[in-house]
Formats: sequence, C-alpha cells, structure tokens
Amino acid sequence: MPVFMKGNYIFVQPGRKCFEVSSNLTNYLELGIQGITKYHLEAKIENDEFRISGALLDQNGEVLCHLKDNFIEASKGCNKEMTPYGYRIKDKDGNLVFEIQAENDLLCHLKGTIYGELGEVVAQDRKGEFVILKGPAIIGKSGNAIGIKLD
Amino acid sequence: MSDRWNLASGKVICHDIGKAGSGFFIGNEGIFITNNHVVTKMSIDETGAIRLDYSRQIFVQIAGNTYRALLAIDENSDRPVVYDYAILRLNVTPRAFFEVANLSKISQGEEVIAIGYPLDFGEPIVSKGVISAIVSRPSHMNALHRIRTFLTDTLITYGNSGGPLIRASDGKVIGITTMSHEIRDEARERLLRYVNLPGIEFMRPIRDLIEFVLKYLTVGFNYAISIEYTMDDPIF
Repeated sequence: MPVFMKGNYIFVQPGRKCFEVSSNLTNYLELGIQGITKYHLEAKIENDEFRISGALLDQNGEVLCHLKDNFIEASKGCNKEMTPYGYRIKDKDGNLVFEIQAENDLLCHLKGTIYGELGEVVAQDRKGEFVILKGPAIIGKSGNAIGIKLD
Repeated sequence: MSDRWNLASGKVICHDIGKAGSGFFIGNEGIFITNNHVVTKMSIDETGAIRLDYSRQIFVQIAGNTYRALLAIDENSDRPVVYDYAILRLNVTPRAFFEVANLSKISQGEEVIAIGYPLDFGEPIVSKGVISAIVSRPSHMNALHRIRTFLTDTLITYGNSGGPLIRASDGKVIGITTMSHEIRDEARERLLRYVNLPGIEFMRPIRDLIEFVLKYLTVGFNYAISIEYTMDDPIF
C-alpha cells in the first residue's frame, strides 16, 4: 500500500538550506545505494552548497552520466545546461533527465525522472512534487542518524 | 613597478565579442590566466539557460607586443564558468611569470597589490590595499556554488578583470581580480526603474549622464576570486 508523507521537516531547521521532496523539507536525499544499484543519486548540503552526486540512467537502464558535486565527471551524450540558480541535465535528444533549481538560496527543488537499471521509474516530479516511487532511499541524515529509510 | 610584474601581466582583448580585460602568466610554459567572463559572451535564453560563446579572437598585449592566445580549458566544462577563470596558452616563452602563493597562509589585513589594465589604459595600473575580508560567497554565474573570495580595497574597475591580486610581502598570486557584478547590477536596476517610468522623457545630456553613471556606478568592496579553483583545473 503506498504511503504519502507531506509537510515534514526532516533534519531541517528553520532558515537553513534544504531540499524539497514531496512537500517534505530535508537536508539529505539518497536514491539507490552507491556501488550496489546501477543508479544512484545523493543530494546533500555541504559547505553551505547544494551538492548532487551519482549515476543517472536513461529509460533503457544505461548510464547517461556520472555527477560529482554538481559537475559531470563522465557522460554518454548528455548535456548540462546551467542556469543562474541551478542546472538541467538533458539527454542527447534534448529531453530533461534531471533538474535542480535553488529558490531564495535556501530551498532546492528537484525535477526530472530517475530511472532504475530495468528502466523502471525510481523517482519523478509529478505536478510539481518530486515523488519517490521505489526504494532503497534515505530521506534526511545527520551523522549516523537517518530520518526515513525506504527499503 | 617591478619590470617583472610588467612582463608577467598583460591586457586581454577579444575583438569578436568586444571585450577586454587583464591577465597574467603562471609558470614558464606560456600559460596565461584571466577571468572567464573576459573571454566569453553570455546570454540567457528563453528557457533560463545560460548560453556562452567563447571568443575566437583572443589577443594578449604584453610590454608593447601582441600575441595570439588559444583557450586551454575544456569549453564544454562548466567548471571554469562557475569559478570565473579561463586558461589561455600563448606561443611564447614568458620573460617573467607569477608564482602561486600558499593559500592556507593568507589572512585578513595583509597588504595586497592589484595589477591590471583598466579603462583605456595601455599601461598596467598598480594599486595597493589590504585584504578587507576573506569570505565565501555564491558564484555570480551559478549560485549553487560558493567561492572563496578576497574582498579588497585595491582599485578594481572596468578592464581590471582577470588581473592578478598578489601578496605584497612576496609578490605571489592569491587571486584573480573580479568586479562586484551583482552589487553594480542592483544599482543599475534601481536607476533603470526610475529612468523608465512611463511618461518621463529625459533630454539628451541628462540621458548621456545617466548612461555614464550606469556604466561606472560601483558600490561596495571589490573582490578577487581565490586562485585555487584555477589551479584545480585538469590542465594542471
């Protein structure tokens, strides 16, 4: 049975930077497990920066690009478009894969579709909300403490 | 000014995009550093994406000689854009160059010197000041990233961009001088709001004066981006 959680503050204090995930505000998001799942996305706040790292796949489960702290490290034909407050990753056909945009320097919105290795949708923005459809995932982290863990 | 500084710095001119700035040699292999915004023309398209066109006609004037410069950075990488640096290669063995300072040993209040070719000067202009503060501030190209920045009271104006900020005590480079764009732009927007009020028409001399002020109005401290981001480029 699907579970919907909205309006929670997960390891976020008022006035501090955070990511918006399905109307929840959090300091950390991890989709997949690095080195275990072929896809992986880690969104964290470090040195007062929003930083995204991981491996993004296309809908056939092939690796499109590797990101390290918002910079593309390796890519197979994907393109990064920078905006003044974020960036978009597009595939070789110009389709949006992933987008990050900061609002007022504090709130960071995620968009796009994260695919798994079988081409399944792991997370996707739907009606303006970034919805996690499949685990494993972690929402919120502080040291060794984890906010929400989805298996 | 030391002859060495004169030979180690130069004026950057990009004829095709109508831009000019300053720059300097690092090492003895013709590697010449300037700001990315000196050698690029930026626009924002209808989707909000930043579009950059690199100059194809970059020339560097050093001590009366003019050299053709080629881009040595990866034009497809956004890293030089975010950290506002460009690395050029000149087909010449520099007669002098700058060394990079140990950046962990820089402190507020240290005396620094800015070297550049501002406005229409063909000669290098040197000004001395102090490091007013060392701050982390958002990149003026992409606010996701923060940049270690030296605020300084040295004279930095149009054309200084890309020049070296050097530590006075040993003459080593600590940063790339860069204008305070966002502060200037805020002042520009505020003035433009008044100028463009409906029903108001200014006489030509007044409009000329407003345009002059819009061009040169700068408020706040000048700043220099730490050289560390340039030195982290894969070319090194």
